[in-house]
Amino acid sequence: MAQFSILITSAPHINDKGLSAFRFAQTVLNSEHQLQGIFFYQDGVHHANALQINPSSGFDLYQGWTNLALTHQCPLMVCVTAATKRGVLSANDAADHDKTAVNLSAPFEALGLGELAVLLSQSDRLVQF
Amino acid sequence: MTQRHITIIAQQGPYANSAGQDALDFAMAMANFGQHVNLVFMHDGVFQLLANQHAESIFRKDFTKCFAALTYYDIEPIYVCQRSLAARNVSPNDLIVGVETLDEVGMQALFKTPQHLVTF
Amino acid sequence: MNHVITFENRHIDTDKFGYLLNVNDWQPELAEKIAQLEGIELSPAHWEVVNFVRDFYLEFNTSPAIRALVKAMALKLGADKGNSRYLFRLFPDGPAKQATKIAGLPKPAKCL
Repeated sequence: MAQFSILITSAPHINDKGLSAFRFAQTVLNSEHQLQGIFFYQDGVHHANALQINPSSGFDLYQGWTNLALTHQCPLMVCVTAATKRGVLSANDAADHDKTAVNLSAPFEALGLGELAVLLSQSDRLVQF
Repeated sequence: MTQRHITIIAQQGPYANSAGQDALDFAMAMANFGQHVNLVFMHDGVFQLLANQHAESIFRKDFTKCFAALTYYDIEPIYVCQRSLAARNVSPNDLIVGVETLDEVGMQALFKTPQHLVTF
Repeated sequence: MNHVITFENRHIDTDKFGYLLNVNDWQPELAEKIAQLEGIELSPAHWEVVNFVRDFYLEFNTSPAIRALVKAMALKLGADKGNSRYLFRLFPDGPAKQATKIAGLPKPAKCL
């Protein structure tokens, strides 16, 4: 049995990496292995934007991440610096910067890269998408 | 906290996007939290290591000045792929100090240790 | 909303958290004022760290995270100063946060 972590650095919608990451996460969670957490960095933070409207014909990846996190208690960690730079704001960050809108909420969490260091120290395998 | 080896590959040029800065921030954060970090420049990433850049003239912050501070994060030496340098006609003499050039044997040795691998 | 420090009858722009927006607005007398707002009276020991952090930023274009600050100070000033207990005693809210603010540097990235 191995401990996995996933790092997502690519934006949703521009290619299939997000979906690949999701299917990989599902596969790990349904195997004898464990998934320590999923960390979103660089353009990957757009996955955490709660204001994405999914066209009804396609798979709703945002909802997918949310369900996966709630079903498996798998943390969805978002780099706060990368996210705020791209306008993906938790309630705390919106207040800190005098912004009126909030579009990052649970189960996604805005955190520092230091949290990823902790995650990696507990993981045997990191897979980047 | 268990210390892991984390190898970060920077493979894009310095200013077309923020990948270089992101790799650097990533490296410093992992080291600041006690992880063992290797930073390797290959492909167009080797251009990040050119000495005497003047990024301010194109309205960019010169993040490459920070490479000289990596010794304080125990990220040293910085590695660069010899083959990538040769393919771009860049001489090791054109690079900042503190960079170790790795031939193919050296590159292979670097990836022998079990580790996490992240690419920017 | 704009945030300023009033200093010698001038308004110096800061961010919401009191970090200077322009690194060149800094001068030693202003450091005294920022320190006062932080509840710190600057001793020579404080000054040594403030100057160290500012020099580090000007040389490397980045503020040192705590690990780097400790190692760099240990190398230049000795192990009795290059340790986090010493630095936290001088800057109780965290040297990476507070010393940079007094040194007129931008707010360190939240993620480091």
